[in-house]
Amino acid sequence: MRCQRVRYYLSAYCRSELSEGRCKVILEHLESCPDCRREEGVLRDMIGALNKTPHYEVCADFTGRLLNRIGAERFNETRTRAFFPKKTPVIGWTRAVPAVATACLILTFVLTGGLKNMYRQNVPEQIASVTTQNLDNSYMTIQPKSDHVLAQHAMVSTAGKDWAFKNQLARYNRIRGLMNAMQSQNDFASYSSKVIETPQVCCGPRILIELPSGSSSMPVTGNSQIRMVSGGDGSN
Amino acid sequence: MELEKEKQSDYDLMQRVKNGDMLAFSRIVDKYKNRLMNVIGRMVQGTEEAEDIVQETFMRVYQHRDSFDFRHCFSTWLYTIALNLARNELRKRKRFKFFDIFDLQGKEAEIAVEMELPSNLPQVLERAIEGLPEKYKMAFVLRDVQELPYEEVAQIMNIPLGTVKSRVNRARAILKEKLKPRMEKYNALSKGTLLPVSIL
Repeated sequence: MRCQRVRYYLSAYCRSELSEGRCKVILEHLESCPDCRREEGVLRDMIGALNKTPHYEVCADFTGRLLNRIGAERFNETRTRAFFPKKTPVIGWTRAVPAVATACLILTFVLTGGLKNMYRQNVPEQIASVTTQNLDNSYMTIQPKSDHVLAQHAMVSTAGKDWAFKNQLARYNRIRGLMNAMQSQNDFASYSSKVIETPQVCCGPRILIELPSGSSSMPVTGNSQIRMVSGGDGSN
Repeated sequence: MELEKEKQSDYDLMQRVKNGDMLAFSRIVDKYKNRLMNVIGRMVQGTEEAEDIVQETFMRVYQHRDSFDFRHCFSTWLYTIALNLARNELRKRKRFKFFDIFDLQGKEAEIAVEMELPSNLPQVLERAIEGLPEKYKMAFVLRDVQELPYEEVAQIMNIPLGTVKSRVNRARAILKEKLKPRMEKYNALSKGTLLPVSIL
């Protein structure tokens, strides 16, 4: 065995950690090699010195202090358990913060109008105001809105975003068509309705539509209204 | 055989600790406190810090007594906790290094004096161990100072057995190289072949 190899195993040899066979080989080498023997001497001295190195020891009251600390911790633990039993744990910050944030959001949403505003945003304005004149509870006034409102509605409806506006616009167009027809034919008498010329800003004339006898109010819903306006025969 | 007996004794004590027996816990503390201190003291190089770590180790043992797995060796578990805490401490120190100039000056003088005196060989060896790299030091202290079997050192350090042997061997070689000039001088003096100048 070469010196380098022997020196690699030398520390293990000095501590009797090697197998019998390897020990024998190293011993033979050491008998013939003074340099490796010197190395062995250094290692054995080192092991001897290691046994004489000072031992670290804890201070005398170590156990007492430790047991006191454990006692204090156990007391705290018991007290905490008494106030906050495990079955009803306190909500941790990781859960409390999102919960509070969600509550704040909902509160803000409700206080600022919430769904009402959203609905208004989608349905900003009626395109025609419908009122019932109750002189004898048999007439209804339909007043178209101004042109720019109608134009806005038309844009919204052509964008196809809201079917409600489409309905409104279709209804308005039907009423408008009816009014034009009545004006062009100049035959108001054939209809049970009156067109009243009033000073308007930018809207068409108002039209009074006779309601069927017996009904105090009438829903303005598309075709049924037009049929009713056309004079009771149901043809138009 | 002795090792098995000791293991069984540890298991019995831990079983009692699990059932809330503080007397058994204090027996465990008394049995292991100085062994741990001997290892941790060499690792962190500060008696107070080492004692704090040992105390914290026993605290952890008590807090997690229910999670101790009886299939494993108690001493391995204990040393693993202690060395993990020591590693954390050393990591903290690396982050915040403080130097006291006056202290360093004093130490340099002290080291110089010690190196001149052949009778202080164990102290010099102690300083040489302090200077070892952390991974070699841990393996060396557990194996050569604490005299734990290689297998247990491997379990504690969570590395393969071959790596432990290699690290221990490397640590011994480093120490031997550091101490060689001084040892030879000491040997020569003891054999009367070389006399110090001060005596002549």
